Amino acid sequence: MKRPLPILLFGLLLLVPLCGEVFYTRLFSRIMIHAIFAISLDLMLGYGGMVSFGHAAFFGAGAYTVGILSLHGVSSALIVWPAAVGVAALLALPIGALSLRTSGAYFIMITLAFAQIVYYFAFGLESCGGSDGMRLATRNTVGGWAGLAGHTVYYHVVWGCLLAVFLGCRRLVGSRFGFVIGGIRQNEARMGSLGYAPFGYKLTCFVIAASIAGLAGALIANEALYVSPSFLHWTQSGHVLVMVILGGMGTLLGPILGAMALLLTEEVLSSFTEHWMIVLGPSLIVVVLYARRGLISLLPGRREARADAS
Amino acid sequence: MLLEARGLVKHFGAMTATSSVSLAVKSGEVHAVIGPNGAGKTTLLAQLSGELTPDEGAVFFEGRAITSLSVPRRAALGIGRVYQLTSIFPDYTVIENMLLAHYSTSGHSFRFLRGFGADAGARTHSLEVLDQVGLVERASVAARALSHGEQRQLELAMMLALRPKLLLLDEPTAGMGIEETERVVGLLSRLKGEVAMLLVEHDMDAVFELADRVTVLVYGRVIAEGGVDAIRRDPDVRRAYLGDEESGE
Ligand SMILES: Nc1ncnc2c1ncn2[C@@H]1O[C@H](COP(=O)(O)OP(=O)(O)O)[C@@H](O)[C@H]1O
Ligand SMILES: [Mg+2]
Repeated sequence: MKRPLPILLFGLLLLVPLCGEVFYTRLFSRIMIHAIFAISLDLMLGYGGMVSFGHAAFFGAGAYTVGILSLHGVSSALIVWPAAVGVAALLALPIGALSLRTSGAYFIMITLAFAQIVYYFAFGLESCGGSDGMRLATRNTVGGWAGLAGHTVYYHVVWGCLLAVFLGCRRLVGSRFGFVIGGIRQNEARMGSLGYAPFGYKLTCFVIAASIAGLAGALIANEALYVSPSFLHWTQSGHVLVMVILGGMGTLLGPILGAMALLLTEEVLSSFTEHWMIVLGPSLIVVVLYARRGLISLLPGRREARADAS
Repeated sequence: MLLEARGLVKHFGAMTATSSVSLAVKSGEVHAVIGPNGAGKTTLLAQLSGELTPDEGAVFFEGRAITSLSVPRRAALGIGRVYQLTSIFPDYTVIENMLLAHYSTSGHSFRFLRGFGADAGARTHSLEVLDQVGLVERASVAARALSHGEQRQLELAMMLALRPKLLLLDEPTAGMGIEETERVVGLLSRLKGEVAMLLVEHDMDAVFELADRVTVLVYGRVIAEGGVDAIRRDPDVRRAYLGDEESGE
């Protein structure tokens, strides 16, 4: 078999609900949703070389789309989820167009600044509970069917979304567009002198990444059954950055591993001590020091972190 | 006239790096620009390729003013650039570098689904060009793993894949061993006639072998311009530039 690792991983994920504990089913739903979020960031970060510190804006936009539409009685996932993706994409278009005029540290700061604007906007949305956020009565329905309310059913839907995002992104990074994005990351000046105008490609990558983050946001709102400004907070952007770097930038499996490792560690540590962050910080530093290319480089047969792209 | 630069001036603060430089390159011609380090050769090429905008003067390509066009636009018109410092895509393999060059000439790249390497025609063409520069055997090696000379050859091959009308070459043999230098000079002389070149080069043997015309630049100023033989004999050039070369031999 050519790609045993993804098959093994997705197979193992299918086993989680079989243990019959709702706690684990929901925890792993959250992990997979964050994995989608992390993959979307990695498209920009690892493949496109764009270090965004404002990716939570699009995650939150997806979540708030679910909340706002539910206030208007729209509950069909077939409408709400595409709408969440669309809202995130529309938001990404101006933010990306302005942010991509800069690069390096300025890009980090300006994406953060835009995300803070979106955060304060959500904060002031009284109809959605302002700073407290709002509860959702039920999960979205599919053609009138309310089955997603069951945690096991919902788990499988999320699993399917993660698989679709994983396969879609694998296609994308292996396409002509994907190679152009990677070329811009490695040597933007050379891409220019080959005749490529980098801006349009970078903006497209930005918007695609934001759209996928919007989907993750819609999924998290349905999982948690609430939306709140905390989904948009800058710590959320930092959290997902850590997942990508921890798991392995520039790969698609890496962000999944990173999401899993980070959320599981947080879960375990927080059950032992309320000062879990003090333990987590140094352990992250150790991982980054000993596995520069992330957890994925520790797996067998994975010497090259970019293996997915070639 | 393929390329024409008229009265280019470029200042860096108080320093004048290009001082009313004019030069012209005909189709198929090899035009060498020589001059000591810091003479402003790279700065001149950058104004022709679009990386720098001249403070004064104009650049024409095939009769059309291109002074305000961006680098990608000029590249699309047929101006290829080989940088003084090798500029390739280190994480990609040799063939992937070539494909990236090849695709830049065939429409936009907003193609999201089809595999990058799936186009057999593009692969064949890329391999042919690699064969020309002597790199086919290295096609599936990561570009970062190539020797310095091989990386220069790859960069040259990428430029050839663009089928440019004019190549701007900034010291293509710099840092190469004797054998690699010979290979590159041989390749350029085979290309001569097919593609026009503006060649910045320190190796005088290479210049006199390849060039039809020579412009001599000193402190940003053209001190002589003419055919190869005339330049060889020019007393100013001998004193300012060639003199120390000859006595060094
Ligand atoms: N971006 C820049 N800013 C300031 N000075 C520069 C810049 N680029 C080149 N120079 C200066 O301009 C002069 C010409 O440089 P350059 O064109 O690189 O010369 P050459 O290629 O002939 O060795 C040098 O004195 C160099 O220091
Ligand atoms: Mg130079």
